[in-house]
Amino acid sequence: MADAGATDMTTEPTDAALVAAARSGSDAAFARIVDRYQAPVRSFLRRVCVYESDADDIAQEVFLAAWTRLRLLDTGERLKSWLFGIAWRQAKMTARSMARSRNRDQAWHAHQPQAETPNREMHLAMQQALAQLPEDQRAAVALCLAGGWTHQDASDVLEMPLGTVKSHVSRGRARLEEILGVSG
Amino acid sequence: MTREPENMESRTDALSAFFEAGEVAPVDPGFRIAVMEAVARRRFRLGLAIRTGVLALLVILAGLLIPVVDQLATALGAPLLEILVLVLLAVLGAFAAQAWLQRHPDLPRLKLGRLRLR
Repeated sequence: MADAGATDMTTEPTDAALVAAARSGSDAAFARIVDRYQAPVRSFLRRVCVYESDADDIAQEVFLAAWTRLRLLDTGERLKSWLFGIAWRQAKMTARSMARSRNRDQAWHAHQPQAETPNREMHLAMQQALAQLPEDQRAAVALCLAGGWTHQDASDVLEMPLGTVKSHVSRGRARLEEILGVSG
Repeated sequence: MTREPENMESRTDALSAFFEAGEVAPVDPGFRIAVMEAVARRRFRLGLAIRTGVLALLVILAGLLIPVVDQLATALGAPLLEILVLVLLAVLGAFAAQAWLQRHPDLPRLKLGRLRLR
């Protein structure tokens, strides 16, 4: 293993250190990357994908693609936006080819416990509201409103002009508030 | 990632509670294991593809060399040709032995020596 792989893991290693270690063959470093970014990536995909059951499958594909292309990442410092970029492209590609997931999603929901906690109700309400937004708008909302990304960073990840992202966020917010019956 | 507060949306609005209700657990070990298994499968397939490619190249090379070996056999005579065949067999044997020793898929190698998972 290269020096980078021997990074002292008692302190939180930087993304760049983890990327360097993973590039030199450390699965432990790559597992740390997965642990570090699985929650934000999966949350983002659950909001972007109309069918929630697709989200975790796509998230796995995202990390697998990341492992395969890790050598193409010029610097580990932009790992997060790179991962989200892969996630966004993968979600768009999958949305077109996953019509079958409708059936699977219905089957998945049929096997879920039916207890409706307030959190679950709110989550389902948000999912249904998000599903009514156009795909690009949904992604901008998921990053900027739910994920706390800046418009500029979201614009880089989604490969959209800054003005378009701002417009998507503004319209998306208004639409969600209207559907959910809440006011800003 | 640099943050630009003036350009950042706040989650402290009416929608934040709805978004927070849909957050996934910070770390799901099952998800990590699934990813690492997929990585191991891909690594194995890549290794297999590379070895198959190398073997195919060796076969093609051997096919191209047969006429040359024929000419060499005539020029060198039987004793030297036997030595050449033995050397070739030794090389092929070494290649086969190396492939046999590395026949297992590279399962996720959690190198826990100095790089510790929490």
